[in-house]
Amino acid sequence: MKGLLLKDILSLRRQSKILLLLLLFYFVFAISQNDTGFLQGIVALICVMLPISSLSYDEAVKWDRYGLSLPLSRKTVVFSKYLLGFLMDFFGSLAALLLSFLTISLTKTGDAAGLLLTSLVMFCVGLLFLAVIFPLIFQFGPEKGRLLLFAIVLLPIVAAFFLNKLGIRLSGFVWRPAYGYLAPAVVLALLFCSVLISTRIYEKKEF
Amino acid sequence: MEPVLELSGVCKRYGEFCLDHVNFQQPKGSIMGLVGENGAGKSTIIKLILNLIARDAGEIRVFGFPNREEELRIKESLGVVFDECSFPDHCCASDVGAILRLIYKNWDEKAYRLYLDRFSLPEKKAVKDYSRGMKMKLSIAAALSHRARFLLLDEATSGLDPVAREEILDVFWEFVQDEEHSILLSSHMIGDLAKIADYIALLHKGQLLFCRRKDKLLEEYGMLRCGAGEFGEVDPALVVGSRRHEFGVEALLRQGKGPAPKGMEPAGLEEIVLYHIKGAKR
Repeated sequence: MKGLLLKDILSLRRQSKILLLLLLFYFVFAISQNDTGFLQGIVALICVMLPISSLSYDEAVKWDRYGLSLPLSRKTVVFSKYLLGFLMDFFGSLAALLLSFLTISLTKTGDAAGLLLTSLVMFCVGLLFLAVIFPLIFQFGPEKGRLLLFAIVLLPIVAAFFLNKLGIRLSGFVWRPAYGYLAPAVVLALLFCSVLISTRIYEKKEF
Repeated sequence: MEPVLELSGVCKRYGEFCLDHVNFQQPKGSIMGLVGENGAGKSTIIKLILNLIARDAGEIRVFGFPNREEELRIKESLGVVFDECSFPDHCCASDVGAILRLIYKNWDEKAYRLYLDRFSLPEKKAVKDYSRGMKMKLSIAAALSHRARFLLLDEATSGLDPVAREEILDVFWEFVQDEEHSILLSSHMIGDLAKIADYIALLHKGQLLFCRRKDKLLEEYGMLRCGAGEFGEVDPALVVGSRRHEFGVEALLRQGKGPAPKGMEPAGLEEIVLYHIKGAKR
């Protein structure tokens, strides 16, 4: 497991510079605009894209057949990808949160509790994203999996757009901050199911 | 003789292709060459041993253990090299060492450094900047540095220049000097196998045509080059495969009980393999 994580982190190393640049860019943007929304929203999502890149790299060098010739079970291989995703999302969100705190202390506006909640929600959105995309990628490969993800993300947006056009509104649902604190439990449960599904897919795969 | 590898009644179907009830045993301490055309089933056999694909029937044992039930235990002692190097492009040789040290219980960093040195592989150069020969050597260094007892090599010497091939065959030969060590290698370079293999298994369209000691094969078969008239007198049961041309016939013959036909010469491994495939196609 540790070996697999190290392998993925080393192969993602070349993207770390771009990542740091982006972080810096959104930090400067946040200070100048007095708005930490982008910083918190985008950085975590970019971080969860990384495990998907690592799956593309694996495919390009036919890593799977080699990895499975080492003393590693298929469960371990699947779990290591989820762990990588979790860690990337966690550290990405944490970095964004810390920079956001720094931003509001520099600009002396905004509220810290709100930032914490936003980061928590973005962290959960990242995990939700992973829970959906991993089984798709394990089943269809990184290229098709990515396309399917776009379809899945776009569908509700398009649906909402048309519902709105038709004048239908979802009523009776009022967002409360408390839902934000519930999100981790829901997302972790989904993530758990996703791991089970991916493991089943991967156990049956032939290389 | 204790087998390192046993396949019994192994079947695998992929669409048109079907690996059909393959049985063979490889004795411990030997080098076995898997030969056959592209698509004959060589890689399929290696993948089945590694449980990368699921077999439809049969049984496979490695070191005496069933390959699926004892998968991880077997893989601790296996060294595997495929036709392509699978290390991440941006990693260098010392990264590969750092990764594998965390995966193999018996990783031997000292042995790894010695192989890197011997193969003149720079430690800090990214794998993507390696030549094909260097990539193969790196894969082989990795396969030999965790006290493996059995090497599985799938086309590991193809695409290498003759000097690099020779160097790598030497390493394989040294490896089997320990009686506990064995190698199974698939290759369509029959010349390489003729040099180092003790046993030859020939596959054709998913069928195992034979699995024999190389020296027995060389003793058992001979080449006859003669006129069509003389060829007519040869017992057809002894003819494995033949080729007619303008000036007569070339045929691979099995040694019969009686005296060999006049003019029969020793056959090379390449001829034995080619005429068996030709005979099977007929």
